Amino acid sequence: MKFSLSWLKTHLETDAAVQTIADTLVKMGIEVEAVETTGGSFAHVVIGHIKERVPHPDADRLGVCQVDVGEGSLRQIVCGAPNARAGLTVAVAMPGAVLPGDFKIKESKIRGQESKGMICSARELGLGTEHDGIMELATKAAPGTAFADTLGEADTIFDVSITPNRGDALCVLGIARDLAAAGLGRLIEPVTALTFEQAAKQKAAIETDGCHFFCGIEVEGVKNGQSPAWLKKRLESIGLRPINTIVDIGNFVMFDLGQPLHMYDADTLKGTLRVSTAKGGEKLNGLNGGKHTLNANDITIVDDSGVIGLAGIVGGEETSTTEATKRIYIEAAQFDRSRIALTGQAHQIHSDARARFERGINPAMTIPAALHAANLVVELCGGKIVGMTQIGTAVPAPVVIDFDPDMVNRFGGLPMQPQDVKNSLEALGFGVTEQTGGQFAVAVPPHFTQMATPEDLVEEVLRLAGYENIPAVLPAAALNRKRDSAPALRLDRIARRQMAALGYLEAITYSFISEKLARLFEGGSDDLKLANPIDAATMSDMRPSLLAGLLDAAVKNVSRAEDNLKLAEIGRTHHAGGAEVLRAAGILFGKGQRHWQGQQAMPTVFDAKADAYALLEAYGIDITRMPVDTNVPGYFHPTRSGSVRLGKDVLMTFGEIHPAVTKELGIKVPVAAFEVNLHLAAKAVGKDKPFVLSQYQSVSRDLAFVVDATTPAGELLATLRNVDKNIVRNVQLFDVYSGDKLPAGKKSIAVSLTLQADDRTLTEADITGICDKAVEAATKRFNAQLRA
Amino acid sequence: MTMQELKTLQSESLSHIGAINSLKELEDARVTLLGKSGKITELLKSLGGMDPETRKTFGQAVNDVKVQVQSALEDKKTALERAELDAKLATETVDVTLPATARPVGKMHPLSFVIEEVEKALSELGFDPVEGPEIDTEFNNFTALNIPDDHPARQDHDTFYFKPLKGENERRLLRTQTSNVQVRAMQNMTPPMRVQAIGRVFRCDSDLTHTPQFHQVEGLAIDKNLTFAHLKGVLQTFLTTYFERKVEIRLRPSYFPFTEPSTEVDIGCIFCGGNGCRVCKHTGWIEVLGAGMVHRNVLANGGIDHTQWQGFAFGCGLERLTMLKYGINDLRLFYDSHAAFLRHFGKPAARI
Ligand SMILES: [Zn+2]
Repeated sequence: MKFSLSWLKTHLETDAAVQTIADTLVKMGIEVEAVETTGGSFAHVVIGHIKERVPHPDADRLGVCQVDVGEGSLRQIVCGAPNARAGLTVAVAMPGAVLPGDFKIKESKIRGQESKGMICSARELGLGTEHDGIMELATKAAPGTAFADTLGEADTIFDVSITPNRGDALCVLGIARDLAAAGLGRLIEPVTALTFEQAAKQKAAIETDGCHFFCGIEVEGVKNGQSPAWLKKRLESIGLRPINTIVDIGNFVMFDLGQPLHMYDADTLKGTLRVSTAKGGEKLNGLNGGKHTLNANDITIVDDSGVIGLAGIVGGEETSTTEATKRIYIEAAQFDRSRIALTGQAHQIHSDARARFERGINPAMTIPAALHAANLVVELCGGKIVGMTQIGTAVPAPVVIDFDPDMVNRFGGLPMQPQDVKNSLEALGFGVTEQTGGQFAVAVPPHFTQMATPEDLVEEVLRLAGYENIPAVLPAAALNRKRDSAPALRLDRIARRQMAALGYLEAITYSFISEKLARLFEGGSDDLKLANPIDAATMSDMRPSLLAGLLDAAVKNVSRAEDNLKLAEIGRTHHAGGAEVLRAAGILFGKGQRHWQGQQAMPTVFDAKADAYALLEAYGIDITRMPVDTNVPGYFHPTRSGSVRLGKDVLMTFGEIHPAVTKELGIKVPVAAFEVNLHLAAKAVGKDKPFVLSQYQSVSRDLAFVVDATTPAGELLATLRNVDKNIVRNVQLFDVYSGDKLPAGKKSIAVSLTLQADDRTLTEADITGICDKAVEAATKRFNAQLRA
Repeated sequence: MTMQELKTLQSESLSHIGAINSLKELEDARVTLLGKSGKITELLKSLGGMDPETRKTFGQAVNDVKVQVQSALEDKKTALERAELDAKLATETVDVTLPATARPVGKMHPLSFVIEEVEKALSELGFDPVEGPEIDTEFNNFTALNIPDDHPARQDHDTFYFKPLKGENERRLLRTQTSNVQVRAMQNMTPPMRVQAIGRVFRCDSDLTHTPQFHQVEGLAIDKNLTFAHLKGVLQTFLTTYFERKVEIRLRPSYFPFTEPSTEVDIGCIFCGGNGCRVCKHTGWIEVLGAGMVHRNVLANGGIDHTQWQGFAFGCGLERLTMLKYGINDLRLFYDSHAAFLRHFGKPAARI
């Protein structure tokens, strides 16, 4: 919300400096987005037109401008602003000007180029904080016109952001009230009568529980037209466009006092004006230009012609005031916060009235605001007030909160005497009654519409005291820490480092991907589709695999000539039925680096497998002993990929990506990849084993088996390892052969067995025995023949 | 042979050995002198025919010569072998400035490094990491956090929702904040507790300064007598640890439905020292996090009795912390997977 200093001063008697006001607003919880000064006196600052800009011959960032300042000849000025260009209308500080900060402008040479003045930014003129470029002016004034003449009177505009709990601060009066409480001046309350004797001729009624109070004032004999300058200026100063006097008065009073008003052309109303509830399906042509179809339970304003407004949100076109309006009806009502919010959300209408109603308006200001508006209408448009209608109770009984003043210390951490707590609350408008036992009964003033708990009061006292005065205290060390609450998270962190150690660049891709990609990676189920994706074509489905995003990243990088990469990601994947799995994945792609030692090979299934195993081994998972199967998802190469399982669940998959998938994505180089389930990996981390250093010698024996070409080597190795787990310490595969020397359909696998016992030196008989058993097991399981 | 002749043999032998230049010649010399019928061997054999007195003195002399010759032969052998090795190695010269065997250099994403830094800093303050889901219910993301569906704050979150399934009575959404972990933590643990949750959050917003996905850290502490002053102490310590320097902090009253009192926390601009610059929009302050005392309704939704327990919570965007500390000026780069960005801003595996 914006407001001007001059407007503020109609409600706050103060001579505080602008910076003090800004600092106090921040301290009170009203964030100041910008402070901008308009107008002022600027001696020797004139309007100029940039006719030409050429780069400075000796400085890249500077430009040499030729500027028309109404002197007949052009004036050369060196300027470093990025937006300086021919055709701009600008403010030129001429030699002799003194800008804020006692900055004297003189003719000079900048890097060897003459510069006779300065083209100004808003900050250099003290007109705002903008310093990223020179001001681009919209004025039509001739070059040489005094800059001050193109500005209005000096004023300062504050742009503040109001948090959703501070409905009270969505008006200039509310801002003034907070500043006065903070000691910045005296609050000037509006002086208005609280009633008007005669009743309005226009009848009104409340037919819904969504309206707590209704006030209508009828004014006749008005002549609508353009607003006077002061009113236009008030509205323009906060960025509102003046429309006509009656509408402008409505807006002005809302921003001034916080009560949204609606101005009807009373001659267009048919019968009794009623606050009602929509049945659903009714139509409304809104003043906002929108055509709205109402939902059941929307609070509406109706007359005999039907719906003429969405209460508290937007009025109807047909009953609005025009230049020709003679008789008006001013509506000032109190609507249910929640209903306004839900209706506003449903129709996606963002109006100033809605913003105020859903945050809570000050009920004590409803009647004064309506009367203030009516009086302004009479003052500016003539006519007279016919009468006023009130339905319901304007100001409900105050909320009273039982409050222990020690809570400011016990909860807020600020030691404070009860008397000081009381003073603070009273300064903010609370009514404090001391109870026996030191407790307070605190009556909440009507403008604070959302306060209900003692904690709310603690906040009020703290913000008045200033958060900067609360001490910073470290709590005592925590006991009973839960370090093992998330072991998968620790694997996650380690994976990020370990993948880097393995040569991967870690990317973070989006959790949502295109439907096409989701389908390719066996996802895309209905429960994982976003209802409102930010881009339906590329970000509609939750990813089922990290590889989807990584392949997408590969495509992007290949197009940037990064065509030899290892990319990794660690993150969650999403699966039908709601499962979320923490995973680590890597892809390797490219033709292989050219290197003086020889071209590197293209990545294969075994490169992916090596890295996957390296990661899992780094966790202490005995991965080499776990069986590999070839039951893999369809996006992997069907015969060059594998899975490792923990029980039934897939711990890890590795392999080459299916060429059909890479082709679909437009990747022309082969891609190898792996993906690990970290939630499962956390369960597979091995326990430490006792260390036994055998005193006895180890021996090794080589064996070569001839088996069917389809026999998985991994299973043969596992079989050999299991011959005698206490003695077979290692089985090293050192050769695989198929070819002329063997029958077709056969291959030979050569292994070296390392044998060692903890309790004795193995005798030749022991060794032969183990080897015989190994051969027997291999023969039995794989029909293996010992190769001669 | 006379003693004189022996002396001559000795000096001739040693000078011959000294002049030898190859292992072959050296072997020949060894055979000539010490072989089965070598000159010195023959002399030793001849000792048997001498009278005992002569044998004793001459024998001693011959033996001395033998030892000296043997030693000279060995020394020469060592020297020749070394020279031969040197000559061989000289032929093996390579250009050691050639590039090493190819091995790609990996980097972890700058955000991952910041996640570690933040997690460690909070861990030192007693906050244990916990996990929470990215897809959650409206209840856990909003309602439990005291944001009913008519609350204006709900609109600020630009929430991604999922298409409702048949029979689904509560809308599922992508969490807009890591605060969804709060309620679960309270339900699953008993106070006193201090937990932190780091993870991805999502909002339906995409422009220069917003990406539809970003990261947050959430801290939650519940105990008998934690106050706003403790919150301030924890934040001051956390931010100082993270930025590795004394940072000035400023707390401003603010509003979050899940905390009361609430505060936004600024740090003194680390680029201009508070004098005003582009990064801090000339205010001297940079907003980094939101915090407050946990609202009694949130405690109740977590099954915790607010008359017995009280505490604080804070939440902080990690992209912003990363950009501030490591000088990254374009948010969108985080999710672009650009290898050049990852190489430059990424951190090596063993970076401390
Ligand atoms: Zn700064």
